[in-house]
Amino acid sequence: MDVLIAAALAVLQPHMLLIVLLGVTAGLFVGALPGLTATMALALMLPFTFTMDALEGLVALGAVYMGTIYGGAFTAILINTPGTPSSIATTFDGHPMAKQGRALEAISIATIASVIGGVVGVLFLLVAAPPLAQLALKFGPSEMFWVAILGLTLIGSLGTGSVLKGLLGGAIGLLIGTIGISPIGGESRFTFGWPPLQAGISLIVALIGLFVIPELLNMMRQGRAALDADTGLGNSGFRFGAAMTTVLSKPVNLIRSCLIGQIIAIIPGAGGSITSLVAYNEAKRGSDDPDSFGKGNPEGLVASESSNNVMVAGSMVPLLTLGIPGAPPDAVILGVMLLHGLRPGLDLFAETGVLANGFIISMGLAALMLIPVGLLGGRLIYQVIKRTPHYFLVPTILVITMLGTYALRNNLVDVALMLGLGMVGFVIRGLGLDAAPIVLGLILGTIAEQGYVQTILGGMAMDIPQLRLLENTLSQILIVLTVAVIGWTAWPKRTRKRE
Amino acid sequence: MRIRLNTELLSGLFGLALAALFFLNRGQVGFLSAVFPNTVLVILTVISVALVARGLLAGEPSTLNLEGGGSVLIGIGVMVLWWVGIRYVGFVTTSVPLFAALALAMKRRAGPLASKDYLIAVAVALVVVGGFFWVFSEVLGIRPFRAPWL
Repeated sequence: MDVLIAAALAVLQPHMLLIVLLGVTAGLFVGALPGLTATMALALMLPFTFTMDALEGLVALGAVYMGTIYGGAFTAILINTPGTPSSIATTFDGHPMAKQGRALEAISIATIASVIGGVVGVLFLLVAAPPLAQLALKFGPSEMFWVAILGLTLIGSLGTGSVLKGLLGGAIGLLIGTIGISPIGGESRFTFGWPPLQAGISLIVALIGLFVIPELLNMMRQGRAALDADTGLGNSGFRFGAAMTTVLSKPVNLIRSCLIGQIIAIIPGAGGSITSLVAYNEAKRGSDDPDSFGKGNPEGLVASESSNNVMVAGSMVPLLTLGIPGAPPDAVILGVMLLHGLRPGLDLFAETGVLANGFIISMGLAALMLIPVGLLGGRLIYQVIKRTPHYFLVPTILVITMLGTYALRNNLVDVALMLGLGMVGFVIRGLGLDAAPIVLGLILGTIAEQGYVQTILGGMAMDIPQLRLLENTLSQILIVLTVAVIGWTAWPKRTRKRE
Repeated sequence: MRIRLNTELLSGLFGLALAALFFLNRGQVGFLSAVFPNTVLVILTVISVALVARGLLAGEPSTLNLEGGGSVLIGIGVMVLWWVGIRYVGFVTTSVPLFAALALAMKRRAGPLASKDYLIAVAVALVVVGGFFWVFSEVLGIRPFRAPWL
């Protein structure tokens, strides 16, 4: 307890609070720009931490991380463009709310859900880090394969129309994910004689291409009407208290989403991008009114934003206790820790308890800081988008997406792929194929392939190597869960049809 | 203009075409590299066939609104030109005129353009393109595009 108090006092110093404030603000604006991910924001922040001491550097990075994940929600809500991959699910109900004239309501709800998610994640980290890390270690290749398959069951509820089309989108995403060097075999696949494709198609390139470009083409086609369809973009009279009531009115949804975010976050490599999709899926399945999801139901927004902010602190569990980055941005934080001579592991808490706990507490502060920064920043971004004529908004977004995509790997091929995927995305949108299942397939494809091939490699001595996938208890639990989820998805639909 | 399309049939055909494209380009790779993509190709084919069958047997045509299709084609043309320009001319030198051209083309749909609209479009293009280019290259330290001009 003394350590916790000392840690709290260390991060409550005025200069620390200023670092948190600046970090959250910088992260918020970076996160709102399509193409600039949390990993990139932290990497850009890295040189600034060289002159800081260890705690200051970690506090700054934690604040930027929290701000970036939250910032991705703004463009997701206002222009249907997820700023970061973890905001994909925020577009599903956030943007329909904006189109109904409830943009500020959506931003306020996203802010409060993010704050609650961030604080819950920090509390989890403070209380349950070591046992959770031990659980995460039990996930081997076979379990990771089944985690990916379990994630793919989300497809049924991601599309707004046909399940078959959702599955087709998922399969297309899985196929796109196989382009490039094989993660296990090391050979080039599906490069179509074009060497740049050996590097594969980055998730961010696909995300921007499939979400942003079709939206821009739609805005070129429809003009301003594509943004504010019915009643004009946004209202101005929405109150903070009303948003709080909306978020807290469905406590089960909130708690479930936080739990989902926490569980997925502690599994190294599971990918923070899917936390919000899984939470959204469960919110829809558990709701009294699942048909309203995708049409502006705040429950979907709460699920997405609370779970992806839980993930920020949650992914620190394997990092701080085992030295394994739970998500790509954590690798940058690991770098800063090593730079300052800190060795992650359970000893970290024993030897440098003030520093480790101070870092965790500072993330809680960063989450709380989202309220003033987020609400003010959200209004600012909202006003900018609302007041900018659509004929300047479209080319401006195009400039940002091109620079953002290029910045990923300093590669113009990525820009070409992004534009190409965007045009394909626009055409297939006309066929009723949604972008979300394709992106989900792309995210989970790599995890599934690595798990699948590594497990088969381990089972080569068996007559049927694939049987290795069914061997251990955790895999069997995941298989049962997958079957249960599929059954659960199908069952209410049949019941509703009968009714 | 509105047209009616059997989107299930077309989606299925799109899936089959994609599966065929990837199947024909799978090349000579070992078991470890081929096992997963082959499985995905089979799954994609099965789903596509199911969609085609459903489209043929019970497909309900959806209405597709083609209004504004010309603007979309212009937009696609501008994007392609933009990329080519960035690659072979330079980011700022390409982006400023194309930004202004796209903005003016979109504004023109609302009514005739005045001469001050041209000036405003070029000024906004200079500020936005120049501003973001400066932030990315100078503040964020991202290596600029390789092209003869800026």
